[in-house]
Amino acid sequence: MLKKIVAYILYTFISINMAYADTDVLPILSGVGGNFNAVDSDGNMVEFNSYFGNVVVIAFGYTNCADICPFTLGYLKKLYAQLNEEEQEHVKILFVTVDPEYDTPAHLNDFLNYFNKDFIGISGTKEQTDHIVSIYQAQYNELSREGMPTHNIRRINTKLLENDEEEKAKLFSHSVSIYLVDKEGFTRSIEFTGTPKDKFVEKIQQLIKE
Amino acid sequence: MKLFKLCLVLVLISLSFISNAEIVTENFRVMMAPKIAKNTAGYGVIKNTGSEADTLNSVCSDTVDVMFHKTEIRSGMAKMVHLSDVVIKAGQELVLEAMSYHLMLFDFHSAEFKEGGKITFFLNFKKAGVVKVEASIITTDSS
Ligand SMILES: [Cu+2]
Repeated sequence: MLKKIVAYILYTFISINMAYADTDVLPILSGVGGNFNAVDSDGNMVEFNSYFGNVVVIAFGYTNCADICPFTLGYLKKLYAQLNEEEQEHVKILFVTVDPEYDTPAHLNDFLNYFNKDFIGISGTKEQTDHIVSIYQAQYNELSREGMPTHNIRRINTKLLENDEEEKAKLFSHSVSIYLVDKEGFTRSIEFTGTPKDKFVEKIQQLIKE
Repeated sequence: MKLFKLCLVLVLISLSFISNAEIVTENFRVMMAPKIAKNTAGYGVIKNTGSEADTLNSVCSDTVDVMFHKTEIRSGMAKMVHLSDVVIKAGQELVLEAMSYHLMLFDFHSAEFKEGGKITFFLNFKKAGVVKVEASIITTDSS
């Protein structure tokens, strides 16, 4: 009898797992994401919940980033191009700035248009962008150029140090995760630019069909 | 102007050294940045074809402010680090590419660079001395 019970439990357990693997549903990542208020790159006040009904892809960064962010946006540009027009209509690509002081909605608009006119920049007050960073459990920190030990600065001139304060672009370290959010606002997957584009596209298409 | 002078001085000092270390550069390019972005990055490959290790001490340019950086990713956070004294062993190469080693160009648009234009960099090596590199300004990186 005991043997039978164990066998039954084992069977149930295995079949549940197999069923799960078969459908390959992306799990809801509880505690990551949520509603927020901000300003989009057209200068309009937006609420994240207003994107409900669309699959949303969210990345964090800033326009003076130079290496990481242009690379991430180039990746997202190629990813977006792999979707057909109808699919694109159900996908919103959001780029949230960690430097709202420099990245005004107009700046973000210029920056993102360089990659794809459909991409949406998210800015606002520092409190608003900090809130978005925190609900996505993302992070950012300002990097100090002047604070670097001088022996680490392999630049020969001192031009930057002489520039007046407002001309200098701030540098930040920040999360490189790319969040995939479903039509109901639930975060379903966290990717990065190392994810093969085909796989990422498949996940987006899967969420569009849900 | 100061930028140019300092760079020139460095180049002249370094030219006076003669060494066995051989440095070859390949495919140097600078990414055209959206107008609003003050900074951009340069990539390429630096090969040490000589028989001894060499150290890249610094990078400079007479037209743009440049630093040698590396993007490091730790637990999902990307950070740019200023590097000092990067050693390239004999027969090895240092690949500068997105999300890794790169030339960090500051206040790029102040010099009014255009796509298809060129930027000259001077890589200052401990043994090989100054290696001049011409980088093309491009819009999309295929590599
Ligand atoms: Cu950098």
